[in-house]
Parts: sequence; C-alpha cells; structure tokens
Amino acid sequence: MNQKKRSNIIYTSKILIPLIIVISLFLGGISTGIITFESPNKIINTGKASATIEIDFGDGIAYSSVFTLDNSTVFEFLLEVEKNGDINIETTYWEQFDSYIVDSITYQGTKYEAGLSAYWAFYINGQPAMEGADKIYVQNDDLIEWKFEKF
Amino acid sequence: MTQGIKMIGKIFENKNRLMLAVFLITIGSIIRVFLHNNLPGSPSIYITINGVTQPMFMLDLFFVIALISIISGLLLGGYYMFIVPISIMVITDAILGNNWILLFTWSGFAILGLIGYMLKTKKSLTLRHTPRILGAGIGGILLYDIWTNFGTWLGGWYTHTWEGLALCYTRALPFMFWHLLSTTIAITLVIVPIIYLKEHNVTIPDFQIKPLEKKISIAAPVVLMVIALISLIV
Repeated sequence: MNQKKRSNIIYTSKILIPLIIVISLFLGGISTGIITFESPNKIINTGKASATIEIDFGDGIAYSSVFTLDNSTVFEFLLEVEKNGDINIETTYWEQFDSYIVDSITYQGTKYEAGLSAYWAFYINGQPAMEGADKIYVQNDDLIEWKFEKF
Repeated sequence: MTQGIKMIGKIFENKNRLMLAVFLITIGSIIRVFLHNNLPGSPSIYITINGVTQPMFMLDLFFVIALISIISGLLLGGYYMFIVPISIMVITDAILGNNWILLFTWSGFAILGLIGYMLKTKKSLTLRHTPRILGAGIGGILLYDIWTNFGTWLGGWYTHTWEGLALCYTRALPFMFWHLLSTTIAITLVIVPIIYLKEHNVTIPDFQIKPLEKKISIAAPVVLMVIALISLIV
C-alpha cells in the first residue's frame, strides 16, 4: 500500500469512525429504550392532595401550613400560600430549563432574595427535588419544604 | 458564484483585523437578537438518563456564537479571539437581558476563541486538517458545557451535593447534545467554503500576533474564569 493511499484511509477513518460511533450509540439508545420518540407520561391526575408546606427562611424564622389542592404542583402549592396572603413571591421563567425559579419570598416584611450567595431550594419528604417545582405533582400527605440556603 | 468569491476575496485582501472583527460582531449580534425567539420547538425525541426523562435536544443559538468564537481565534487571533465573542454577548445580553450566569457564558466563549487560536497554524485551513478543527470544536463545546453547567450548580440552581451536581449535568444533556450537533454542522458549513476559497486562490489573511498580545490573549480566558469563580464564592 503506497503512502498516499494509506494517508487517505487514515483521513477518511477520522471522519467515518466518530460518525459510526454516534450512529451506533443513537441506535443502541433506541433499542434499549433510553431514547424514545413518544412524550414521557407524566403523573398529572393526582386528585385532591393535602400537603404540609414549610418555609425555612434560614434566620430562625419559619412558616408552616397545610393546604389541600386538586391535582397541583409544588409550585402551585407555593402560589396558594401567596394567595392566602401569607407571603409574596417573585419568580422567573427560565426558558432553558422550561421551569419557574423562585427569586424571592417576602415574609413579615422581610424579603429573602436569591442572589450570588443564596438561593431557594425545595425538598419533597426530605429529598432534594429532581425537577422544577412546576413539574412535580404533590401527592397526599407530602411534606414540601422550601429552604433559603446560603453558601 | 465567481462574483461572490471575488467579493469575499476583496474583504479578505483588505487585511484589516478590526473590519473583520466588526463584521463578525455585527453578524453574531443580529442573528442572536432577531432569532432567539424564533427557534423551532424541540423535536419529539426523548432520552431517559439517571431517572430523568427529557427532550434529547433543546434548541438554542449557541452554535452561532460558538462558531464565531472559533473563527475569531482561527482567523483573527490575538485579542480578537475573546473581544469578538464577548462583544456579541455584551451587546445582545444588554438587549435580551441576562443574570450572573453571564460570568460563565462569556468566559466559556473566550475558551472557544482560545481553542480556535490554538488551531491557528499556516496549514490549519486545508481539507486535510478539517477533522482536527472539528475535533477541537467538539472538545471546546464539551469544555464550555462542563464549565457553564458547573457555574449553574455553583450558583445555586441545584443543591450543593454530588447528587445535585449529577442532576445538573443530567439536566444539561439536551443542551449539550444540541450544541454538539449544531456546532459540528455549522463548523463544517463554514470552514469547508473557507478552505474552498483558499484553494481557489482567495487570500485568507494571516495576521501576525506579537508575543505580548499572544500571552495576554491566552491569559484572558483564564482570568475571566477565575473572576467568575471568585464572584460566586466570595
């Protein structure tokens, strides 16, 4: 095999091998069910659910109440606390995450605002959330904890 | 076609780095401002990893700025490798709005510019070196996504635990897949015509970079990254 032919094969393989790997991974993902072409089923019919919502403001002040809502997300439970007149919240919709993020919660005249060194996190039954608050539907007897965490 | 090649040739013949830089900044800013709300929805392909099901691709205009960053490093080099992408981001973020994450996205694009600059050799714009440019581009995209998503985690979008970090990177996969796909296609669509022009005797400028400018340009992305980290930690 002459030098030119060999270098042509090396050049072609530099393009073809990564392409074959990507296509194989994609096809492998489809055959194992990791990649699908149907929208994932979401639990959206939870019915009426009573849940305790606790807000820890991180300075010794805390809020706790029980709400009952029909087929609602963690975010809607937080909005319910606001509707109840207990808190004021500010949120931003982040297109890249397709989710609402809590910017601030005002309680008893004090605004607890997320920033460079603090943020609002939430936990369901003590577990950190795996998705945005507007994506998780509350089940009966859930404990929703919002915590103003500083670092 | 021949007229078009001649016109592009004239732009390149005028070895004015500033003009080329302004041209790239204008193109990048116009595309980002006018197209950011006109992207099609995600295709119906879903991926389940780490218990999280999400669309496989989340479409954004990353590839436009990424491509311009790499081109800036490759063609202009020196200070322009970070001035061009950061200028686009400053202009468009001023119009579209942003938050603290800009510390990470801006420095991320400066890294891409540096990668383009590292590819800058006399023989880099040849068909034989196209896989090298594509490979470096893919490496740069991975670096950008690792860096900016680390910033997202550090900035408090996710809990500060290993689980939070894993979730952050899992949730970022649709963006990373799209960045890899779109930028690889974009690099191919732009670099191949540039090589075609070069092989048809259109002069592609080769700007001389002074040693001091080279050192400052290489240090700039690192300094930006350190500033981003310090701003979040302190």
